[in-house]
Order: sequence, then C-alpha cells, then structure tokens
Amino acid sequence: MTNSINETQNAELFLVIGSNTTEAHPAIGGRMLRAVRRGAKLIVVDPRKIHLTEYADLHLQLKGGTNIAFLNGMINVIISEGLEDGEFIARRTEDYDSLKQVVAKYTPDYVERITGVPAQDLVKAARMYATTKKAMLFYCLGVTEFTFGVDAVKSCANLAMVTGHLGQECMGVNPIRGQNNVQGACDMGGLPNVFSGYQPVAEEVFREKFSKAWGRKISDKPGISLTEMIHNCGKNIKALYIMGENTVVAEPDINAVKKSLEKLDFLIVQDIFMTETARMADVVFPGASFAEKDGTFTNTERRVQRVRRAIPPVGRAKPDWQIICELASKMGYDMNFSSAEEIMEEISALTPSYGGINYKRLESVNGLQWPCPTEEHPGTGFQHKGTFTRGKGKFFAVDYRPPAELPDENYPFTLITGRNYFHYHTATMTGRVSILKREFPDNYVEINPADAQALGIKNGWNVEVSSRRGKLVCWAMVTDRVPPKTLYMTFHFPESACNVLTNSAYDPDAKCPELKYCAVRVRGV
Amino acid sequence: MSYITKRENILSLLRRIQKNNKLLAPIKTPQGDITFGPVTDVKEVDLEAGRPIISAKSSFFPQEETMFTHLGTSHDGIQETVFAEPAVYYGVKACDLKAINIVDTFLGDFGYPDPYYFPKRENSTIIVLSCNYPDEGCFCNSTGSGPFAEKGYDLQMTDLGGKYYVTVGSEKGQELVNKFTMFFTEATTNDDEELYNHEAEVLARFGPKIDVSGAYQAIKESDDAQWVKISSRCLSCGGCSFVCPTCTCYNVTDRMNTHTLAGSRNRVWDSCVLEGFTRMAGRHNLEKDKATRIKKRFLHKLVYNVDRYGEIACVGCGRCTVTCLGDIDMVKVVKEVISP
Repeated sequence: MTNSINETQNAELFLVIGSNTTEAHPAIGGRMLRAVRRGAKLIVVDPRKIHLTEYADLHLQLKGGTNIAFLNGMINVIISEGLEDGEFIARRTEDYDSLKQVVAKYTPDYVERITGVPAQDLVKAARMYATTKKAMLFYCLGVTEFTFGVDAVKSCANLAMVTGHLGQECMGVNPIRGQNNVQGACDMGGLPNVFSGYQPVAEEVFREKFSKAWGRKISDKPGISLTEMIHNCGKNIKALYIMGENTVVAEPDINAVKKSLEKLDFLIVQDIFMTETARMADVVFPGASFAEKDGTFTNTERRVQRVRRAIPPVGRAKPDWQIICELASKMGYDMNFSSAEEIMEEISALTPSYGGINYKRLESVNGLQWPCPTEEHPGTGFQHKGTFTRGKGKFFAVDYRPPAELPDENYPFTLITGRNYFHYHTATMTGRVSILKREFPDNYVEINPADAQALGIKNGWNVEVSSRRGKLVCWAMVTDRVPPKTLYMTFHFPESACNVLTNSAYDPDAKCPELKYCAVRVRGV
Repeated sequence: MSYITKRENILSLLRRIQKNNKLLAPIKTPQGDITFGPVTDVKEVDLEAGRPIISAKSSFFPQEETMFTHLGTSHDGIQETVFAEPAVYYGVKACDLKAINIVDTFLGDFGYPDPYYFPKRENSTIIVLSCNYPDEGCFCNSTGSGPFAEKGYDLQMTDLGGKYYVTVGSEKGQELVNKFTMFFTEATTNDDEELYNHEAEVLARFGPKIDVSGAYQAIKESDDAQWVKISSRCLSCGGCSFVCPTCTCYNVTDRMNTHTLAGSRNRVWDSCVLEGFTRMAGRHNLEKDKATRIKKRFLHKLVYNVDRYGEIACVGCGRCTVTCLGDIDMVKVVKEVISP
C-alpha cells in the first residue's frame, strides 16, 4: 500500500477493484465502510455483488477479466473531459503521450461492449474519481491473478497518475496483501529476482554487496518463479524445498501439479501441520507457529511489528530461521545466527528501507513503516511524496486482451475463484479451528438463480463442476451475488479443491497464474 | 466496616497475598494494551489500569477450557479436569464484577450449576478497584453497574489519591483485612466524607446517561427492517460476543490424536452472531439472516434477561463500542432503536 490503513478515516472516496475487502481484509473493509457511513464515496468494480456493494455509490459489475478495458475507459473519459491533472503529469511523470494514444479508442461505448459496464456509469465513476481530491484506489487479486495481471496493475497506476492521486495522505494506489507477513516475505527477497528491499540480483553493485556480507560468490542469474518451477519438475528441477505453502491445493490445475511433484527426486516440506503437500514429501521439517517464535511480521501497510514467543514450540518444531540455519550449516555454510534479533541486525545493515528498524525501537512503538532508512527516521505513512522511487512516474500504455481460456459450447460458464470470510487459503490453520470450520465446513459453488433454474438445481443440492483439467463435487449456493453464466468458488477446501479446475496459464512478467478465470461446466448430481 | 490503606501498601499487600494464592490483576504490555491475568511479579500490576481488553470473566470462563481428557476409546481413561486453586483477583472493575454476578445467575440456573465455572468462583476472592475516570466508550453510569460496585465483591478499594478507601463486602474480604491488618487502619468519618465527595466528582466525569433499560419496549416493538439496516454493517467477526463480559455461549469440540486415540473434550467461546451457531442438520437455520441474529443478541441482553432475571445483561463496560467496526454496539444501537 502506498497509503496507511488509518488514512481511510479521512479519505473522501474509495475506488475498489477486484477486492472483496470486508471478507478478505475485514480490518480494512470495516474501516472503509465506517468512512462511507461518515460520508465518503465508494465505487466498487467487481463482477460479483459483495458486502461492499450494498454501500457503494456505484457498483460497476464488469465481466471477469476486463479490468484493463475498464481502467483505460476511465482514463479515456478523464482525458476527454479535461479532468486530468496536467500539472502533476508534467512535473512528476513521463511517457504520457503514449498512454493518451492507446486509451483514445477506449470510449465509454467501446468499453461497454467489452466490460458490460453501462457507458453512463463509467463516465460517472471517472468524474467522481477524478474530481475527488482524497481518493484512495484499492486493488487486490481480482486485478493481479490474470495472464495480464502486471498490465492491469500498471493501468491502476496510470489512472492514479493521470489524476495526480498519489504521494499525499489519502491519495494513493493500495494493493492489499493477504497474509500477516506476505509483504515481509517479499521485502526479504522471497522473490526470484531481488535481494531484500527489492535490490535487483541482476545488478553487479548489489551482488557485490551481498557477496561480501555473506562471504560467497552469488550467481548473476535471477532465479525462477514458483509457477515455472512446478512446470519444470523432473526436467531441470530435481529437488524442491517448500516452506509454508500447501502447493498441491493452492496452485492452479492441481492434478498436473501433483504429477509434477511426483517427478522430483527429492521433496522437502516445512510447515506447521501435515498438509496435503507435506504428505508427498521425502522429508518434513515441522515449523513453529506464530505463537511459538520471536521475530517480526510486516503487514500490508509496510508496518514492521514484533511477534513474541508465547509458548515453547510444540513437539520437535523449530522456528523457520533455525531450521534454515541448521540445514545451511550441514551443507557447509556456517549460518550461525543465535536469535531473530541478530537476523534483524543484518537486515537493517543490508536493506536501506529497513535501515532504521531494530528490536530496541520496536519494543516501545506499535511497529515502524518502511521506508525507515535511519535510526532517527519516524517511518513512512504514505509513499512517493515529491518524487517516485525511480524519479518520474512512468506511464505504461497497455491494451486490453482477453483471458487465456474463454467459455465455449462445452464449457459455457466462467469460474471465478476467491476466498470467504471464515477461512484462510487452504485452511491449513482455519480448518483446525472448530468455530471457523463449523461456519464453512465444506465447499460450495455460487450460481445465479437463472442458471440454477435452467439446470434444475436447487439451493443446497450437490453439483459437479468440471473443466478441461478436472472435476469436483460440492453444494450449490443459489444466489444473485454472481451474474448469470458466472460461478464462484473458494479454494479453502482440500477435499473438493477448486484448483483441480483452474488454468495454469500465467502472466509473462510476474508468472502469476490466472486463478480468477477459467471455463467450466456444471450439472446436478 | 471500612478501612484506609496507603497507596504504598498496595504492592506489599499483593506480594503477601501471592504467597498463598494465585494472584490475577491488570497488567499493561509495553505497547499499552491492558490484559487481566495471572501475575508472576507484583511489580507488573498496573495500579492505574484502564479497562482490560478482555474482562475478568475469562478467568472463570476461559476462552478455551478442557472439560475432560481421555486415554483412548474406553471409559476407564476418562479424567475430568477442573482447575480451581484459591485465587485473588485484584483490580476488577465494578462493571466486570456486575458481569460476573450476571454470569453467576445464568450459569447457576436451570438446576444445573456449571461444574467448570463454579469451583473457580467459589475459590475466588475479588477485590474491586473502582474507576476514577471513564475509559473510551464507558457508560456504566447508565446501566447502574459502576463506577462503584454496590455488592458482590469481597473488598472494594477506591483510590482517593495517596490512599485507598477500602469497603468490606463479605466475610472473605474481612478475613483478608484481618490477616494483613498491619496494612489497614479503620476509616474515620472524615474519610467517609472524602469518599462521598470523591464519588460525586467521579460521577460528574461521565457523559450523559443513555436509557439502556428504556430500550426494553423499543426493541420489543422494533420492526425487522430496522435490524436489516443495522445488521448490514455487521462483518460477522463475533468480536462483540468475545469481548462482552456477560456473554456465555460456547461450542464443544473434541480433539483427538488419530494414532493413540487419546484426546480431550473442550469448550470454546462461541457467538450468536455467527450463522453456524444456530444451524441445524441439512443447513436449516431459524436464524438464517444476519438481521435476525443481531436482533436476537440485543433482545437477549435487554429484554429476555429482564423477563427472566429482572435485570438487563449489559454492564456498560463499553468494550463493544470500541471493538465493533460496524458500530453495532450497545450505545449506538439503543439510540438508533429508540429514535430511528
């Protein structure tokens, strides 16, 4: 997030794209709705009716996978009505003309034909967003989990920059991160191409810096992504070490994923419970849960917070860092950290954005938000004040393109996958909490009443959903939350995992798979 | 009988008490959160503590509690687990004491006193510390449950600045004073006078009263459309129930090792605002809609409890007012229902 969560209090408008905020990020969604009750405007862009839409001034119910057309349409209206922020564009950005050229054809009528969003609603939304100063744009996986996810993210940035809605309090682009520490994992270089703090592996100066610190020469080749690793199991990938991911439930097209993992010579899985993936492993390392370890979590607003051990690790479990240290030592590298605090000392020494963060400071404050380069720095509530990280904000002109697998005669429905309020991902944790498990014990598929009637399906009846890759049985929730010819399922339930259906096609840049869109059919059973 | 104890005596007193009893009290974390729980060193006790996040109820009716353990599938290996060592609870708020008394009534009703709750209650000595300032959202002056306790405590202390006025509420309380008599002197009429003035001063710090009891009729007569509107703000987190000092609903769940078949039966806090709470087989549910569930929650607190026990089941602690992101708290809902 370029803004902070509490900035929602003073925001005047929220533009929410591809985020079911109250269910997936209730602490943020709840604050948004509180701001809306106080008078803030809310525009929701989502194929489904969600809790937020009950409060929305505008619900733009676009067809799945048409985000870029919609966003280009917004920019088209803003430019053609002269609502852009010329001063901001001139001073703070570059390559505006290329954007202007590309969005020219995305007139409201043209966009209506692609997205299904009525032209007058698009115009209304564009005017509202452009003319409201304190406008926060929020997006989530409904933007990123497509074969064009990176381009859609760029479009979000384009929209914010065209209107100058960046770099001030309550003005920014806010991707909401899911796990308590997914932001922290990325910050620490849990990505194939960067060291901690997003310092690129490809650049000599950073390789040099880390080589010196670690006393080993570091490869100049960026690594490969999870999606690519799975595709290459048994080819040039012989062994995998998976930490804290239930790959055979969470990844798309899991029948193929399982086959891939079976081709490995060696699989290590490190997790806090015996997951479906851990069952396939040659070696399982039991990890410690949040309550059993010291460390920090970095949340979606870049806030680094201390987590403190409440109980000793159960059984033979160990904190992840200890397992990694011991393994590294066995492999001949003396990784001899004695505490999480000592690791944090190395993080701040090597990571400019974490430079001023240490345990002593974290003891007395409720976390510190990076960038926090020095000991005296108070942390950063909102980013990009005065200048962007790369200097000028670059417009990337991008065109709409359809998802990889469109519905056809054999598979006439589109399937959107997502989450519900009571479970987290593959329910490795939430499935073990009795009350959460009770709230949603098994998988369901949302289907529009018109479709249900045509197929002779009633609420609560079992149905079979199938795609080119697999099939499953779950119960039908007949609801107008989904539009006709669109189904919605969650991926929380390993016993009827919707990822047997999903498509493993992925974005060429981020390699993020198209979990939000594939073609399926459904019938009563 | 009433006493005076000097401020500097409090920690010494608690240290002595701790020698023969488990001691529970408010503790402040370095980040400023206040918890109520077991004390290892009396220096941890926060003498100025505001409202703890979770009330003292959780000491008698914990968030999760083992009811019995079993070694396998045979009856022989069943062992009931009741933990009830003598414990002194220092610094309980008047509102939270009132809540415990409400829970006493409910869990003791129906001819089946709760076998896990009452042993802990019977082994407890409660020292109330009345509040000098209302915390955020507090409205105990409206529910008649604070900031000073009327009954149900063993000792009540009121901070007069430099010294505490100590009121004895039970034999147990008197025994405690007798045991540590060196820390107490008898209160004089001057002290009584000071207490009276102090109480008047404290009450003046509270905001205008909210007619919580007066909502009885309004809620009974409220139409469902109003609750649809209110409940549309609910995020179904259950937070209102989990922080409420008078909520007692729980779920029972078994936890078993699949290899040894040994395990335990546990009860865990539950919430009536969750859909699964009233769901029956075949996904039938008489409280299917959020509106029905939220309405029922308020009916229970302000109507059904009055009908059965003659008092509302809200003590004005204000926890729901600071917890609910949907603003479905006692103060706002009562106002909304009385004047829609």
